[in-house]
Amino acid sequence: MKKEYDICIIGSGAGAGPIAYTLTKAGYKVVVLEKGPWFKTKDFTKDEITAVRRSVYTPNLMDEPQVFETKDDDGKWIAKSNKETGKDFWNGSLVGGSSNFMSGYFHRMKPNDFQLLKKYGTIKGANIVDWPISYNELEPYFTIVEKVVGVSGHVTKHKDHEKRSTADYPYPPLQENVISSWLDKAAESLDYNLVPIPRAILSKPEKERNACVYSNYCGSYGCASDAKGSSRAALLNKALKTGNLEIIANAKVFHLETDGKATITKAHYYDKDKNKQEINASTFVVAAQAIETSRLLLMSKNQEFPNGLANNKGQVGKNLIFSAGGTGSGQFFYDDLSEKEVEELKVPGVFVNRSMHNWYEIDDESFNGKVKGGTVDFLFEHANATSKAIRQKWDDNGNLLFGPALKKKLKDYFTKQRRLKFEIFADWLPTDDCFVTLDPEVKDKWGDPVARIRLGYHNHDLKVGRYLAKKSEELLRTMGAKNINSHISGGAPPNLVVGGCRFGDDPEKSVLDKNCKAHEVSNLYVTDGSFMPTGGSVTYTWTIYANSFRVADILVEQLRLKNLMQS
Amino acid sequence: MKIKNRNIPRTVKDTLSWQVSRRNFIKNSLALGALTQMSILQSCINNENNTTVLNKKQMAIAIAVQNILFPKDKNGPGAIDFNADKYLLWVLIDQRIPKDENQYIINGLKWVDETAQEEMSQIFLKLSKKEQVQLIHTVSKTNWGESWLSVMLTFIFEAMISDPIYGFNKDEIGRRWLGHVAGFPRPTKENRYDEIFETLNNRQDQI
Repeated sequence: MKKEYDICIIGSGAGAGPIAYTLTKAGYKVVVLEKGPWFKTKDFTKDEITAVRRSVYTPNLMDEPQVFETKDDDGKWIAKSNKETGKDFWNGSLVGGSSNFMSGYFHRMKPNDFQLLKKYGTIKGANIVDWPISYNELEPYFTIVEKVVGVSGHVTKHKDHEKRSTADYPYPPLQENVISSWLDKAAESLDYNLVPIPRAILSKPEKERNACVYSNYCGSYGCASDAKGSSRAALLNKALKTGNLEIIANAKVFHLETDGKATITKAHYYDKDKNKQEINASTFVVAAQAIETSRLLLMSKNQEFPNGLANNKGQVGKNLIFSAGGTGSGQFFYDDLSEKEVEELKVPGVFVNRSMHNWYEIDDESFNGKVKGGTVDFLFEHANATSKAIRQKWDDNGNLLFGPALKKKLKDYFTKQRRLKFEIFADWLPTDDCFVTLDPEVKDKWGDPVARIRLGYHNHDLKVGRYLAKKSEELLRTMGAKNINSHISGGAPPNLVVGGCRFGDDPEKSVLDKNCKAHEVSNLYVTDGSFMPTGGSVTYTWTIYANSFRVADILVEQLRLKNLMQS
Repeated sequence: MKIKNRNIPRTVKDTLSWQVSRRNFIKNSLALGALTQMSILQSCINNENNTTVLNKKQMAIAIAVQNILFPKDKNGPGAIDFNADKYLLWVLIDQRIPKDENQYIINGLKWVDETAQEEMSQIFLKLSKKEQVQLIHTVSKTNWGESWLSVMLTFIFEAMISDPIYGFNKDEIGRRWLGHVAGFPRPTKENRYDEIFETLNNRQDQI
């Protein structure tokens, strides 16, 4: 007899962890189907080859390609498989998903982000809508994430600071490099509002996880101390201890079967040996990260849903969003500093942890009124030495360097300076030119159609990004940095992707209702970032975690009522 | 100068993004400093000093080019010191790297030699050191040549930074030259990348 589960979750990242954690603790039987393998804490090291230079945590593009549409110089959309281009949008196919590799820069969305249309009005060519829930409804769940996943920092009030139900973060701030004080000083002289960044990294141990060991290799690397609040370390490992969770790794779900009455009965998947398997459950939660979630729904076609599951209104895959903005940097040369300053600046591992919020809302005549702005985070250049070396291969005129000239440049770069970066996060406006469909030709290693993603952006995004870059460059200049530069583009950052299954009150224009249940399916929930109709101008993981905890509470209540009625 | 139209795989054309992005796989290593005894390398080196992926001449060209790209000099160690040639072999026997990309590396060795004959009427290995450097400068100005040399440099960098457990960067010579401090924990026999999947496959525990 087949095992019956209360909940079947497809995916195991930030959208999945809170569901598994909450439901298993409430006594329900949960199964997680994860496409990737199961890396444990002891498997994560700071080996650059494993973590960054090779596709160990992400699929081989020959096995699991995707197709991307970008505009050519004539404005025509051109589709290319990343088998040919190498453009890799996978972020982590393993238990815990890409939350294993996040840097954990955690910002809450602000109240205005939930009402972008109401607060700032329409922008031609952008499909802006307000959220069906308010900040106040999500606030308690941001707080739960702080406690359960673990957020360290210190609350510093500023003009755009969101309301909180607790006074401060449950974990004290992580240790900082001296450069944080240089940033503070420069910001003060410019009247900029610079605040410490909360991090999803434990600064002191909790019962089952160690504190941060300041390894100097955080983003892109799995955490060897479990200090980082990945879905795996913070939630799934604890859910497993209830005895109510089963995780099936290397299980690639390819079809969700319905019974003709808009109810899913089975998830069909390929196991490790490519054999077809199936799982029965009462409720299904899809959290496979935005692109793959839309792809799975589009693949799950039948008579009832000829265009894909929950897609009778043609909304699945639409309004995919990334994070707009870009990056910039400046260099601090040791020759310009005192011996003491150099020694302090060179200290590895400790963080910069500063963020600029002055222009979360921009009120500047160049924009003809108030517009939504964004956030700027400051951080050191990543310690990845091979990547750093690669960036030194060209001279200022773009010519390839080699021989003694290259060696000198390399040696100087590694031993005579340290680079401070900034990363700009602004709203990627939803448009008709950014969406997911199924490619009609390219198949993955199981023979299933792969996702085809159109990567269009709105020019307004660039304008906001450039405005924030100018302000950020000014801060670096005031600090005394040299070789200051920034790069703002419409390039989509693969690790910051949400949307595709909007939630909303109108079933004609959204895939999910306000509880993240599909309008058209009785027992389908989507809890990764797919639900977001607009993204805010912060990184997404905290919002995804918080919303998933919110949906988990809804599911617990529904199951309680269902059991009550049955008894 | 006559430069033949040479086919560059599309994934290599966008050199910078190709090289900064996560790429694929290389295979295996053994004890520190025991490179010539490495079983994986023995398996690709036959009795005539040819490898299963490169013949003797190709290997000699590869080593010569690497030493021009990253020479040992008064500034510090060169490609030879962190065994970039063995590293290149390692990459070339990697089954997970698309065949056309690895073939491109091998083709480049042939094209360098062809260019030497076209430009200097002499095979590359017979040129003087100065002429070889001059030829590599010429090659670097060609479309295929810039991409190819850039990829060759990337493999040199990977060897230079690699953890000693892989067997190339003995005593962290490359890292020490750059003052680069690697993070902890370091890879072990069980979790270095060529072993990790087997480690996972053999595991039974849940947490």
